[in-house]
Amino acid sequence: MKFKIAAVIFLLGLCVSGIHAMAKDAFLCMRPEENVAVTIDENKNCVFTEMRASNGALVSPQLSKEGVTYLPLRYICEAAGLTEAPAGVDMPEGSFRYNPLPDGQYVEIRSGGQYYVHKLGDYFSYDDGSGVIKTGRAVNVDGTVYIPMGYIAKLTNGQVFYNDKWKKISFLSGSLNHDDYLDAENDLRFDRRMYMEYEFYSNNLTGSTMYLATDGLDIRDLKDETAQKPRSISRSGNRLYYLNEAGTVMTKTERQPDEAVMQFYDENGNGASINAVTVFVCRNKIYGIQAESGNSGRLFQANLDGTQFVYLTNDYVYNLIMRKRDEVYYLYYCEAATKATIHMIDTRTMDNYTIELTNYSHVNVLDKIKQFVVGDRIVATIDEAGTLRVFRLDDCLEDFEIQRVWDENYLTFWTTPEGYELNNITAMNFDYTNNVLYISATTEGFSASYYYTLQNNCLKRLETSDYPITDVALFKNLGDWTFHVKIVNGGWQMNHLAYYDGNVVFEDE
Amino acid sequence: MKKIISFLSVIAAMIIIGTVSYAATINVPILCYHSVSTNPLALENYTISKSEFEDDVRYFKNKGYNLITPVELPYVSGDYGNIILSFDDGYEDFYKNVFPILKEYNAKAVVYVIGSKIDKTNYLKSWQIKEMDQSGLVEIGNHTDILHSPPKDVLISWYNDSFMLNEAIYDIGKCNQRLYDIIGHYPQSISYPYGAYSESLERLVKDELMFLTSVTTKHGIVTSSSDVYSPMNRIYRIHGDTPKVVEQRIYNLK
Repeated sequence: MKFKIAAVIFLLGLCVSGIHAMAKDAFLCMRPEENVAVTIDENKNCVFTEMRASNGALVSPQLSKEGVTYLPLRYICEAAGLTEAPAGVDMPEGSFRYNPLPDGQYVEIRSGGQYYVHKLGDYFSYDDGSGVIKTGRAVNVDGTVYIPMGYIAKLTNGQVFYNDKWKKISFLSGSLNHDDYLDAENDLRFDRRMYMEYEFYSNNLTGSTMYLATDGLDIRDLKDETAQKPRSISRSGNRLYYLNEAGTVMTKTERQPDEAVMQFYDENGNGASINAVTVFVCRNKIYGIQAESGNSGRLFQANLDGTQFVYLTNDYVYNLIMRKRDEVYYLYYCEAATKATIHMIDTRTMDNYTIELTNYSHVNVLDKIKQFVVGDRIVATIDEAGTLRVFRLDDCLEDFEIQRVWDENYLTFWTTPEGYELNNITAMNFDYTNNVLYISATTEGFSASYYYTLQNNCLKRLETSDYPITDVALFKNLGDWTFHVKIVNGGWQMNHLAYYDGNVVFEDE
Repeated sequence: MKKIISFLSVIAAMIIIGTVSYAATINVPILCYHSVSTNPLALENYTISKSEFEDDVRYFKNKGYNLITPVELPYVSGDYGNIILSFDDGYEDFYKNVFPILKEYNAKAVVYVIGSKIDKTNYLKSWQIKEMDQSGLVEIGNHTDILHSPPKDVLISWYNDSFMLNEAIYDIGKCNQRLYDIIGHYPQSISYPYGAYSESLERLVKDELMFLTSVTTKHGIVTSSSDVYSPMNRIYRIHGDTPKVVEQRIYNLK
């Protein structure tokens, strides 16, 4: 009798533990049709990871016409803490299986003490967790079985959240707390988003040694952590990637003494010798320009572990910048051969677009580009003669890569607001959050910084300086401030910027 | 003598006028497709499945239809048996899912390519366009370079503005040049984005850019041989329809 009671208690214990089976900690933030998801690593830093099916193929969330998000079966089940059961055996608690049977193909799931089986293609209804009844099915998409993500979340006590503005879908496994990851708008909490070069405002265009720390608040000097003076700094999670004085690509963990040379290998495992003009990381890849002819060379790409190194261009390019718009990252660069043609790469697809900006006689308005930046409806160039030109566009380049520029929207700045000749621009950078162009220039014996906005449509002075301002870097932090970091007389000075109706002021004053 | 000459002149004029004004009834339907997908999650009105498309081809072939392309239209005679399968936007699934079926059934189709999308993700690649053109089964058509990007009402306002009309012609010419660089000859047929056009645009497209035919998205069929020289109407092929339903629509328009 005692043995029977003990056996019952034991079995009950098994059932109870099965009903509340612990899912592994899994957070995924993704967008439909994109094959990269944001997850959180053990240090609570964001990393991008490629989404791959069990056969290694890249996959992406699919949005059905009914508005249901589908993910590959194994991908979402494993994220939810389910393990795959082999064929032909009773399925244990917390398992899933795709089972081709003589009468059809079935998806089986055992979770929460329940057994669920669905024939491929047959619709079923489920509560998505918010009380809304949805309809979905298991489907075969080009050899990969997909299933509604919300359904798996529901079965495993996980949660799914949708951010309507950016079309982002977040999945949290049952063990995670929503508030730890998502803000009130169901977007990734900003303090979890320390992975973007975007916050560094094209740091690779400057010689700045500064970087935004993972706390999202502090600007730190990487020079204090490295053997040589670093430049072209960017980050993925708490890993920093940069160039040393020789142009060697280096990497280290923030605030850790683990600086190392980054090794690159192509798809065949052959080593690639890299000496770069500029590098940055974006969306789980590292990009850069190989130093082959002055400041130009071939554009390259690799994984963050250095594997899958590949050249993206055969021709030499320069002025590589990254811009984020509507949560999508775009690379821009200029052709070295023409110095008059800008390209844009959509990092979701790696499609390369040739930008065409002409007047209404179809003549290219770009010429002899020394440096350029791209904003919302703004392209600004400094040519080889040092002349600043600003092009006001009807649309963003990401929407229309071919645009005509009306004569009144083709601005050449020959003079400063004070009336001095503007022919010695010492620095240019762009604030992508507030759509502001910054330049610094030395003219008629004094130095000054200026800015341009679409609202004002003119250069306005930000500050004057007794010494030339030879470099400008911009950072946006958690506090919604932009830091303006400039090098003056060999040293760095930093100010906080504030924006009012297209005007910029130093908040510190 | 003068009376004889006058009489013969009148007879000759009547013959000429009669010949010019005679337009044969040809009743050619042009079916309008967009995407043909193997992804069951992607199917919706204008994205049909590969099996649906194969059903169409098999059905019309078995019924004795002659699957032709727009460039053959001026030579069509008789009012039964010819049909055109047209595909807008130049998606890559045309090469992956449609072209193999065309080859299997020795059927023809026309695909209208957006110039600026060539070689982009999910759109036809240069080598695919070239291969299909060389097969003799696919006519490559022009769907403009970027004019598919602005909204329809903006396009219509452009087409009625003489300045912007020149931009439109330039754009269409650019797509022509992209295709010429791939296939070595200029496309002969154009599909107007959203079916939008103006009479001025149509005149310029035919006279300056030398297009033979143009198509819109207005519901209808090519009833007579004279229709070939105006923007031609088409019939949307919707996901969920059967070939029989499509054929019934054709009959209803004759």
